[in-house]
Amino acid sequence: MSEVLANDSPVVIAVEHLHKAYGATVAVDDVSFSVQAGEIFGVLGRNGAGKTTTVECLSGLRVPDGGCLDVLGLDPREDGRELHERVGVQLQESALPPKIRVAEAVELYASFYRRPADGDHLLDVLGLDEKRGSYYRDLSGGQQQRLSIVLALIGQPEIAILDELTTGLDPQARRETWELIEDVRDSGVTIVLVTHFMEEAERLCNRVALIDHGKVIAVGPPANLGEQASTSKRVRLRASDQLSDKVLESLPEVSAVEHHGPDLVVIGSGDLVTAVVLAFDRAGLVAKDVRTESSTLEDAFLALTDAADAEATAGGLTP
Amino acid sequence: MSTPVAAFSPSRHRAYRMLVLTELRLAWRTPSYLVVALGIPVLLTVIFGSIPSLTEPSKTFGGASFFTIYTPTLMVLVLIVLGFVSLPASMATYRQQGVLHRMSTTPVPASALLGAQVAVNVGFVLVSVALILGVGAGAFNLVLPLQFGWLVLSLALSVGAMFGIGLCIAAFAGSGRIALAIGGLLFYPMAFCAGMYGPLTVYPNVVRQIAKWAPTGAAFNALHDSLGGHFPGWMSLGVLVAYAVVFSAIAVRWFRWDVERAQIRSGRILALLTLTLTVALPGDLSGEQVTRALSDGLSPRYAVEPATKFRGRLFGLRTVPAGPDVIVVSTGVSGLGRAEVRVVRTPGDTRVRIRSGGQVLYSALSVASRVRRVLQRDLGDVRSRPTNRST
Repeated sequence: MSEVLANDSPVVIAVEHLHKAYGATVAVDDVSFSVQAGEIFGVLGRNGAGKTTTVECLSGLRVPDGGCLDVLGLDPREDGRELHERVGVQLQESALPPKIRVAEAVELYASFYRRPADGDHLLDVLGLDEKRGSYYRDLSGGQQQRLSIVLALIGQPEIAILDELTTGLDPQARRETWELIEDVRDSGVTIVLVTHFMEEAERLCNRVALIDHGKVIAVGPPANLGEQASTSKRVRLRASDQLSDKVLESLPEVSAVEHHGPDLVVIGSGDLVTAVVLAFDRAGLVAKDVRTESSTLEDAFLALTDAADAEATAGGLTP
Repeated sequence: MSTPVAAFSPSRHRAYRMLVLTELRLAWRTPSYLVVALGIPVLLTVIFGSIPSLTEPSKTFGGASFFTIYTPTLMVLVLIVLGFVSLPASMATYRQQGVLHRMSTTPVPASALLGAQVAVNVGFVLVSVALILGVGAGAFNLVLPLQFGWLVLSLALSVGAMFGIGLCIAAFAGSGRIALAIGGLLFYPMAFCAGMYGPLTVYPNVVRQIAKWAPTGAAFNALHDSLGGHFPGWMSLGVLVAYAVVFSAIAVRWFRWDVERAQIRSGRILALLTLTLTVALPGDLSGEQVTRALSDGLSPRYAVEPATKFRGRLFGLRTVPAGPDVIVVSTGVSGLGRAEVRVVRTPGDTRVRIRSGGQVLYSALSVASRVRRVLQRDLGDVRSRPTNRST
């Protein structure tokens, strides 16, 4: 797959034709992508698509059966220790002993690295300052997740791999975690974010790789994937007065106009909302209650995975 | 995972120090093992030391007092609690909780945590042995013509044997609960061999002959001889060395750091104790049809229920229905005979897998064969045949 890179930043992770099977079960069939320095790269897919196995291979926790891996110029199979110095990992199904205190866990993990970060500062930044003396088991789910981010960052990594970070968090905690991840990226850490939340990938990621049935089915910026899936955007609005359909249809972004009762639905692509609102403005009208029913990453995801399913079925491989 | 061969740099030393410190803190916060391993032996030393008749030489024990002969037993008891129960249970729990998994992503390998666990537990053994001897000598004039060199050697080999077996349990137990169960199973016979239920001299000779081949029996003999000022004898030392070498080697070879693989292994061991019968039935049968056939066909003392399965790993472990294709058949009263019936549809026919076991083998056999008979009679046709191959 020829891959469009976001910019000319150096590639820090290169995965080529990664393959990993557990006995007869193929967890990762053929996965290739590259991650550039300074971006938030999303690895997106349904449960069981092979996301976690992919990042576990990247982290040197599992030995792939085939393919090439390059992380910061290191081979995870060979240079595990050096890799772990420079790559912070937060994985699902990882935990700490129930009765370890927050500050003790941070001090312990800091001792594992050559150049640890200031643990107190990290706890401050992640809002765990008041929980320093608490047992791990007494933290809320969100606090445990934030502590695991602290531990993933304690070694001052160049790359942080974060797996299903916001699963199980309430919406408020999730939003706070997103802001934290952006802050971490802004501090110069490249982030690989594994998720099955479309909203999360859309909001955070510079680029995403969609993985399904152990294969990459698309790589690119979340917005581009919508186009790649050739799905269109829909804008629903109510106008203060009628604007001729012809005016709207003449816009390059617009492909069709529909009337649903008092609502006007404009279908098209590109920067549809701006184009439509400006058109109303030029005509001296006001577009109210503008809602995008735009093709989201979720639509793209469904369209792309459906296509992949259809292809697999046609090839006689029922999933 | 890369083979953990630690390059000792100053920072690595700090990591190991921190790991040991953390393990000590955690042990202090969950003190049940410490109470048993440090408190009870000292308490027993005080109790036995305070009873005059037990500190006097007795003919029953070949001229020694009960007190002196029970001292090595208490030491072996400490080794059993820490080596067979505490060490494997905490390692298996760490693995199950993902603590080892978490550590594997850092530059310090998870084996360092195992090392810290062993170090802390060996430390507790030494403290406990020192307390037993110190309290005995200081408060109760426990005069032992002990051979310090032989005592150190015997203790070291005993620790090697018992902790080697403990690591083996940790290697094979898929969860902390299984490790505890294995440790508990070993506890009584092992404690018996060390004379916890009375010095072995009071038992028939054949019991003593068997016990001296047990790790705890050999440890008792070696410690007893060393405390009595004798050379422990090649027999006891050799048995301890053999246990230490064989079981440590097995543990090193088979230890799995991630929980999935450990559970697969532990599942294979359980499968040896499990009986599986497979029945092929014609046509596509639904789970409901099989359930109905079993409810109607089996005698009323069998309960036929939809199965549940566990959901969630660490927190909020709960049961959820396992779906219509998994059925549990059990004898309602005793619950001893119990089989899991799983319906697997393949093109053309339906395979029903009956799994039973983990209890008294007779009841397992009985319930599984009854289920098979009913299914073949009511859902099979003349051409139906049982298959030996389970898929």
